[in-house]
Formats: sequence, structure tokens, C-alpha cells
Amino acid sequence: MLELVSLSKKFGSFTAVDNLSLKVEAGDIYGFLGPNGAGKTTTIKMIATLLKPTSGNVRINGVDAHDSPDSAKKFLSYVPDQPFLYDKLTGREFLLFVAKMYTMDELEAEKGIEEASEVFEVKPWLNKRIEDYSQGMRQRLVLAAALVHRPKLIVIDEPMVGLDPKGAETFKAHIRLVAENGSAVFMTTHQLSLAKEVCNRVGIIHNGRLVYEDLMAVFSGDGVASLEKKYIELTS
Amino acid sequence: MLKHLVRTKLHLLYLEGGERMSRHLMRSVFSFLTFALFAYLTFEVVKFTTSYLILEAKVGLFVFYRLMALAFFVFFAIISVANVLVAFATVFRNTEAEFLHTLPIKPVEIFLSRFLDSFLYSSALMLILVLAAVSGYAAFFKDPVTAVLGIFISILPLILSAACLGAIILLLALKLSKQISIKTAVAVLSLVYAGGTYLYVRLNNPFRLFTEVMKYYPHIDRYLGVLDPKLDYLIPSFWSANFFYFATTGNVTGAALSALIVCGVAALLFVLMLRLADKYYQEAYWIAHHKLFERKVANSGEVFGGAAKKRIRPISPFKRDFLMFVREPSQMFHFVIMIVLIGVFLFNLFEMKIYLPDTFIISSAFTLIFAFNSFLIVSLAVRFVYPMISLEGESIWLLRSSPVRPATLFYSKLLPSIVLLSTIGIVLGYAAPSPFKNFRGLVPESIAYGFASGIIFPSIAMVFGGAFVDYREKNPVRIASSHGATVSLLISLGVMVILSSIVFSKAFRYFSFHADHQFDLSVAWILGAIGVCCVALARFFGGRALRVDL
Repeated sequence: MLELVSLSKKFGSFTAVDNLSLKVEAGDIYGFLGPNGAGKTTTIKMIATLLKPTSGNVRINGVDAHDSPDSAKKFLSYVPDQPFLYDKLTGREFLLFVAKMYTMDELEAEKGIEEASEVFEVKPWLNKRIEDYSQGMRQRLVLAAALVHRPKLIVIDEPMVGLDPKGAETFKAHIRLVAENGSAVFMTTHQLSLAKEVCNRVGIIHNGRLVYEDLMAVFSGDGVASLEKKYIELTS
Repeated sequence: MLKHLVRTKLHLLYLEGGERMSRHLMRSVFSFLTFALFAYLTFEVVKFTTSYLILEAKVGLFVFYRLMALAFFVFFAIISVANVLVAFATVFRNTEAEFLHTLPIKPVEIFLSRFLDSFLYSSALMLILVLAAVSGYAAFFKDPVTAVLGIFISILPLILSAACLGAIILLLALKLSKQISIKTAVAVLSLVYAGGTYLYVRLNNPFRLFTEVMKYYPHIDRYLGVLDPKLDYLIPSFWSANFFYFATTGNVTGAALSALIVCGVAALLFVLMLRLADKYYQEAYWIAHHKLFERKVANSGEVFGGAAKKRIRPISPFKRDFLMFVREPSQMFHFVIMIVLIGVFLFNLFEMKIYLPDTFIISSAFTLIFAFNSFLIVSLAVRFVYPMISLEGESIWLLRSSPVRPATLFYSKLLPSIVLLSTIGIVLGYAAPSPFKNFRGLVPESIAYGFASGIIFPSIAMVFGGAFVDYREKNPVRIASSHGATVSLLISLGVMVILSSIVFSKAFRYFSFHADHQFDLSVAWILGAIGVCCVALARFFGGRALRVDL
């Protein structure tokens, strides 16, 4: 579903992402880990077609994301760490806007909004303006918007920002369900426990290079501790 | 898709308008009154100027409409340059644009929706003023209301052409910046703009044209196209003014042809802009985003690297504002451009020699120079001082939760602005009388006005920067072209008109009896009183904004 082929991004003499190759298949939840400044956000921005790679390719469902961005983005949902919302719209209007951008018809849109808003428990707030939402409620709405058109690939930068424990649990449960239904999820997080809990594959990036990649299942037993050990060993 | 995008934007505009009326009634009423008053002033000024030039000065219709062409050219150039700056902030460096780029929308549709957004965002004042100016012009000719609307609509293609030209230049500059550095691209563009303006003004010297036209006296209302520089045919503003000339003289064919050219050029530029956007916008967006990220990478290195080398000292709010200012390219770029403009203006003032026989006209010329000086300071104040409080942004919590007094923070913003702008005011004040014979006696008063302008106008900008504070907007260009900034500009221009009328009366007395002229202390009192009032109001509104509930 997502394929990064020898992806590199340079800013002047600085190499932010260096020859990165990885694959995320349908049904995978890929945890993309790394310290601050390792190149996670640059990679994600290249996947979301906000940055053009210096070399290499991003393929989404087989479509080159930078040669045919419009076609590639039909399969994609992107949730940035600081998402944009139209404060003056209501939650429902925002979701309807997103649905329309993905060319959903009215019936599909209404169904998608109903499901997504129910899952993330934003339904009672849908008719209020977004400017009245709390930080957590905004994050729930953004996650609902990401799922409304049933994307094949979901790219999330730090999904837990602002979520309360219940919201976090809902997210974990639902993201697993989304993957079970055949979508691929690519997410970055600094919470190793979250990665351990929901991801089935993990990659660690350090200084722009993918220094580790494996199935999460290799960290058995007290998985978080061994993942943390591995992470610190590779990024120190 | 585009239809839905535009409909959502219009819906948002409506919602924002509605919110203003319900929640900020006072602010809305005040804004409305300011707009209305300024529109009325514009109406009267245009009506008076038209009447003066045609009936009193008897310049003839041809010269009148060539002066109109000159004004249209300035208008055209200002809109296109402003659109380069506003479009960069709205079409490229904007969180909404970033959001839209992650959706499966064609880049050209994103471009068009952002272009319309930037056009509507900063055009409200301009359209009101154009309508008022058109009404003033039509009132002189006793045209019916339908004609006023017709004239107003006839100017819209000119505005659209200028905006499209700005966007085209921006797209090409970003595309070009892949081959050459962005600084070189900007330098080339600035040179092209400055060179074009210089060439136009040089070729269209109104004094020379007036002398040439007078050779045909008494047929000075006739169309004397032979006197027009051929270069003018390439500029839409020339055809716009021609349309007005032919419409007034009843030449239907000439008017229709001119209107056709103006509309044709607008359509052509609009289509060209869309074609270029279709081809280059995605690429240009990536380039702009790359530059933004590149700077982030460079800045992060600088901050940590710099701290390791230098002795670490606490940073005052003033130093923080200064560092943020010099590290924001759009701020520095505009500031340098404005300082260069002031330098060019000063150079011209010292070079210029004005010999006019009539005391009224010579006093008007001096007042005009003073008004332009003030306008430069007003522009600097609205562009750089107005956004200062809003730029505290989402980090206001840091200051609100720290033991720093809002007054300290407020004065750390206002005082440096006053020091800088009053220094510029003094220099401009010193230079203002130099083109006139026997000018020395005017210098002290002129300096006093310049100094006072440097206190009054940044304070007014701070008053409205506080009253219309928007901590969510991070982009200084968008803050400086917001609704509140427009009100600030209008009020400043209103004060500028009052100061200009005082200056005119003083200059008139001086040029009538300059032999026994002495510095008038009452001037200092008046300026001092206005200055103190403005600072006090700035303190009130600015301080209140820094204490607002978050």
C-alpha cells in the first residue's frame, strides 16, 4: 500500500532523510520511531506530498505520489501533529467538506460521518462550531475526518496529542479495526508503549537513516522494555 | 470540487462577518464609521481635485486623463506588488493551503481558491475607496447612479489584471528560484519593478506633458495621442484612463475599444495565470515548502550551535522581538524595501528644485511632500507596529504566567518603534523643505512634524493592534492586511489629513511672509497633545490586549 524507494531529502548540505526504503502492506500498522530531528516529519511530509524528495519515490497503492499527486492522495488520509481546522465551521460541516473533497456522494458522506463521529464520540458536538472545541475534541474530530472516506492508507504524526485516556483507548481500538478491514497505517510516535500495543511492525530512524526494522512480535514478554532498550541502543 | 471549495470559503466569510456583528458590535460600528468617513473624504477629495484641475487650473481634458492614467499606473503597480506579498503568505505559506495540499484536489483548484481568498481578504478597503473615488469623479460630471456603477465595474478588470500579474510574477519567481537563489530572483524582480516604474514616470512627466499640450491651446480637450510615449500602449492602466476620456467626450467607438482592451488584458492575464498555475503551482509549492523547511533546519542548528559558543544571557522581550523580526524573511525583506524607498525619496528631495510663482501652489506642493513623508511613516507603522501584539501569538501564555508586567512588555514594543520611526521622521522632516527656495526657516517646524509623526502613527497602530488583536494568526503579512489593520490605516490617514491641513496653513504663511518667520510654539503644543493622547490610548488598548482572557 505504501512503498518508499530509496527516498532522500536534502536541505542544502544537510541530509534530513537518507536513502530510506520501506514497505507498508494492507493490514499493517507501522510504527515509525525516532528521536527529535531524526527525519520522521520530513518523511511523513514527503508521503503526504507536501515536500518533494531530492531523490527516490513514494508510491501509494502503486501510484507515484509526486508524479500523480491527485491520484495518489485519493487513497491517503494524513493527520499532522498540528492539524488545520476551520474554526468557524461546525464539526459536521468540516466533515462534509472533507467528504466532498474525496468526491463522496451525499449518502456515502452521511454514512461515513455517522460512523466516524460515533467511533470517536464527537457526535454530540457535531453541530457546534469548532472554535468551541477543547484540544482533545479537536483531535477526535481530526481523527474522525481522517476515517470518513475510508482511506487505504492513513498517515498519522503523533496521534495521541491532546487525547484523554478514554480517547486514547478508542483510538487504539479503532485503528486496529481499520487495519483489520484492510487499510494500512503509518504512524510516528514517541510513546513506545503505544507503538508496542498497536503496531505489528516497527521502524527506527536515526539521523535520516532507517537503522532498524522488524516485526513488533520480536519484542515478546515485557515488550516495551526491550523495545525501549533497542531504541536507546540505536539512537544514542 | 472547486465550486465546493469556493462555496465553503464564502460560507466562512459570512460566518466571520456574522460573528463580528454579534460579538464585537462596538468594534464593528467603529470600523463602519471609519470606513464611511474615509469613503466620504475620498469622495470629496476626488470631486474637489477634478473640479480644481478642470475648472480652476484649466489643464484641459487630455492632461486631466493623462494624470488619471498616472494615478491608475501607481494604483496598478501597488496592487500587483501587494499581491505578490499577500499571495505568498496566502497561497504558499499558509496552514490552510498545506491542509488542502494533503487532499485529492487539483493544484490549480487550490491555487484559484487561495488566490480568491487573498484577493478578497485584502481588497475590502480598496474597493470601498475605488467606489468613493468613482462617485466623487461622477458627481463632478453629474453622472447618474447607474453610470457610477458602470464606471466602478469598468475599473474591476484593471484590479484583476494587477492581482493576476502579481500572482504570475510570484509563480515565476518561485519557479526561477530553483535555478538561481531566491535572493537573486527577488533582486531581479525588484529591479524589473523599480526600472519599469522609473521608466514610466520618466516618460510620463506631467509638467512636460502640460507644456507640450499647451502648444495646442485652445484645443487642449482634443485627443493628442501623438504626445503619448509608445510604451504606454502596453500598460492596462493607460487604456483604462483612455476609456474614461472617450466616455466623457462621447466617443463611443474609442470607449468601447479601450474597454475591450482592458477586459481582454484582464482575461488574458487571468487565463495565463491559471495556465501557469496548472503547470507550475505544485512545483512552486514544493519549492516554497522546501525553503521553509530548509530554514527551520538551518535555524535549529544556529540556535543550539550559537548557544554553545556564546555567553548565555537572559533575553529581554525587546531582544526577543528583535531576533524574531530579523529572522523572519518576510519582515526583513519588506523593511529593507521600505527603507530603500525612503532612501530613494530622500535622494530625490535633496536633488529636486521647485520654483513655483503662486503661494497657494507652492504651499500645496510642500504639504504634498509632507503628506508623503507621513504616509511612509504610516505605512511602516501599519506594516510593522500593528502586528506586534498579535505576534505574541500562542506563546502569550508564557508571558501571562510569568511575573513580567504587561506595561513593561507593552513599552518594550512601543518605545523602540517610536525611536526608530521618529528618527526616520526627523530625517524626512529635515529633507522636506529642501526643494524650495528660501526653505531654511521651515526646517525646525518640519522636523517637529516629522518627529511627532514618528510618535503619533506607531501609537495609533498599537491602539488598533491591541483592539483587533488576533493571537491565532502567525503570519505578519496577513495580520498587517487584516480588517483591524485597515481601520488603523484609515484612522492614521485621517490624522495625517488633519496634520497636513495644519502644515498647509503654516507653509502658506511662511511662503507669504517668510522674512519674519519664527518657530510657532503653538505647533509644538498641538503636536505634543496629539502625541500624548495617542500614546495613552495605545497604552490602554495594548495593555488590555496583553491581559486578555485566553
